[in-house]
Parts: sequence; C-alpha cells; structure tokens
Amino acid sequence: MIAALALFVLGLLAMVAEGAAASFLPAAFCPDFALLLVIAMALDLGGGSALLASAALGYAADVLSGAPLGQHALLHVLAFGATSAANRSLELRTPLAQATLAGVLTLLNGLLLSLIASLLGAALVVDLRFALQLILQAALSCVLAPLVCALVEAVASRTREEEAPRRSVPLPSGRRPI
Amino acid sequence: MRDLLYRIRVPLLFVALVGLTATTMLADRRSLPAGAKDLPLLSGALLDVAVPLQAALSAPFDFVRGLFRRYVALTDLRTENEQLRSRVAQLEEENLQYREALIASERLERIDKMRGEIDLPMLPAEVASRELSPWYRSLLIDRGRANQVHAGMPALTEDGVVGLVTAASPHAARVMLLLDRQSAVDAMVQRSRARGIVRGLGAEELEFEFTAGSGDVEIGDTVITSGLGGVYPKGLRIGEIASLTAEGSHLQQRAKLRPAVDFGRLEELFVVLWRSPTLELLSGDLESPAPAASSGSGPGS
Repeated sequence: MIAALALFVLGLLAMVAEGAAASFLPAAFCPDFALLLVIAMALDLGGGSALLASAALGYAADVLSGAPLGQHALLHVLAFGATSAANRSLELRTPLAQATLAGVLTLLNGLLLSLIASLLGAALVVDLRFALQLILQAALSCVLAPLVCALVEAVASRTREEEAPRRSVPLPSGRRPI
Repeated sequence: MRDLLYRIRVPLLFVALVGLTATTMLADRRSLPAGAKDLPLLSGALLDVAVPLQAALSAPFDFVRGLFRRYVALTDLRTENEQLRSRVAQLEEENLQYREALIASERLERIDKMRGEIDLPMLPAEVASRELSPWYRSLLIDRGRANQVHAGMPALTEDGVVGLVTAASPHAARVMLLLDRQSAVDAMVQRSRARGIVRGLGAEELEFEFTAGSGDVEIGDTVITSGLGGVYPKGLRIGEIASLTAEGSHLQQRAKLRPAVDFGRLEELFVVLWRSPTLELLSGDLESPAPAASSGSGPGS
C-alpha cells in the first residue's frame, strides 16, 4: 500500500516533469513515465493498491493533459491488467522482456488513445508522422522500462522493509498446522 | 463466499475500475457539448499543484532555451552583420563608380561646352609628371611634336588657362604653369574690362597688376585673358580676384588672384594647337609651324 502510494506520488512528479520537458522536447522524445510505472507496478507489486494507483495516475494524466477524464485511467487499468496477465504466463523479470513488453504496450496505448479519441468525436489521424512518433516513443519506452522497473523494485523493497516490523509474525505454538 | 471474493478481489477491482473509468470518460465527453465546466475539486487541486510545479521545473529549461535562442540570434546577427558589411562595401564601390561616372560626365559636359566656346583645334594630353624644383612651376605632358604640339601653344582645361608649352620633344612637352614666376599673361576683368597683367608668384596664388584708371576691380571678379599678349586667345578664364592689396603706386595696383584651375589636381589638359602670329614670327626659324597655326588666325593675337 505504501509502495503504491509512493509510486503514485513519484508518477505524479514524473508527469509534471514530463509536462515541463514537453515545452522544449518534441512529443516523440517525451517518454510516457506514467505508463512505464503502471507496467512496473503490475510486474513488481501487483495487487489492488497498485491497480488503484495506476487508475489514479491515469486520472491525473487526464487532468494534466486535458483528455476526457477517464481515458488515460482506462488505458492504464487495461495496461495493468494486460501486464499482470502476461506476467502469470511469461517470464518478465529480464530487462529484455520488460523492454519488449513496454514497447508493445506503448504502441498499443498510443493506438488505443487515438482510437478512443476518435470514438469520442476527434478526428482519427493515423499517418506516417503519427506512426513514426509512436515507434520512437515505443523505442524510448523499451530503453527506459528496465530502469523504471528497477526503480519500482527498489521502492517496493524499501517500503517492504519499513513495513516488515509492523507485520504480525506468527509465533510458534507447538501445534502442527492443519 | 468471502474467501472467493477475497481471492478474486483484484479481478473484481479491475472490472470495477474499467467500468468506472469508461463511465467517467463517457460522462466527461457528454458534458463537453454543454459548454465549459468547472473541474471537480480533486482535479482542480491537482492542476493547482501541478501548474506551479511545472512552471518551476520549466524555468531552468526555459532559461537555457532562452540563452540558446539568444546565442542563435546573436550568431544569426553576426552572419547578417557580415553579409550587410559586405553588401555595404559592394554598394559603396558601386556608389564610387557612379560618382566617378557622374564627375566624368560633368567634366565631359564642361569640356564640350569649352570646345563649343573656343573655336580652335585642341589636343587632349595627360600630365606625365610635375616639376620637382620649388623655383619653377611646370609639368610634363605626354604629347609632343609628333602630335603637333609646339612651344608657345597655350594649355588649358575646361576650368581655365593652365599655362604655356615652353618646350616640346617628339613625344613630350613641358608646360609652364601660370603659377611660375616667369609667367605673365595680359588679362582683363570680365565685368569692368579693367586691363592688367597676371603674374605667377611661384605659389598657389597669382597676382593681378592693373592700372588704377583702367577700371574698377572688386573681390570676386573673374579675370580672363585679353588676347593682347600675343600668347593666349582672348576670353580664357584665368581666375577670380581673391583680395586687393594696398601696395603699389597710385598708378599701378595689385590684387591677389585665385586660379580657376586647381593645379594640384591636374591630370589632363588640352593643348590648343594654335600659336599667335607673334610667336610664329619669333620662332619660325627654330621650329616648323603647326598645321593648325598655319591655317589661320585665332580669336586673339
């Protein structure tokens, strides 16, 4: 819970920094840190609190980007679900696997974003420029995903250590477990 | 049942969140056509926190970007400055050429006017060198006897009298300037017709010596050749009265004369291919007369 909350705050700060960087960097070179955090949380933390944090990050992204409230949140929840599902059947602990997963999900995220936007009335623009931008962003996600995963893992292990003394430790009762 | 719900709590939460997000998205979309709306408290608070944070984070980047832009602008400015300097130099050069052409055109006009006024054959000549001795004021020209230039022929420019050819070789000639101490020209004031003699002083000024009773002389009067000296044709401009001096007897008075010709800038002149009959008689034995001279008379004698 604390880890999810800490990562949510981290994600918020990352989004704010991203917004600042977007003023001087081309859109293709602005990595989607929130999405990477969602993927990393799904891989490392799992559970309801991480899912809630992902949705909350999505809502925050909607507020900050001006998208319809819930659009990013929905995609983040779906990304969390897809990552969790993939994590059950695939070995995603290696950096290469994390990078591949992040790249694929970034591509899907971009496509779904424009698809949902078009369903909500915006013009669907899928051209070469859009494709190039998406591919660049996916490549950037591939590079950054292992780092973000490592960061999330570090935060998670730190919070686990802090939480550990407060957890109830089962005392040996001398009875055999049933 | 409770254990089951606990076990599927995450998938349930997932489904609930998907539903919630989709609902809020659609609701948010539906509310748009109704017009602008205020953000909910939480979203508003998030924006209120994010905007100053973003501004603070952007500030260093904006600063760097501003510096970069200024640097680029300065670089552009430097390049533009160099281009403009080059352009200015080119235009100055063109301007110089135009001015030269204008000056040449004006000069040609004056020459044409002079040629129209003086009905005598003339030969253009270039000044080859000047006399280096301070005692004599003369120069060498690139025309000589081969060009029908002989001693005794007047030399002038469109501005006025330059002097007299005093010696001629086959391809060069020496011209004694009006400024030379040996030079003396019979002259008169154009306005009052007061007659006198213009003498060289060896300096940049001339002296006009005139008889007191011959007419009045004022500063600024133009002095021209009288044609009576037997050397220069009549009516050639010599200079202007610059000052009147009180020296001299009551009969003879003197005035300083500013030459019409700028001798310091003399590059070209015209030799009048004409010699007065007096000079013809004096030098007839020494030199063969010029064809122009043998053909007839000039306006003066």
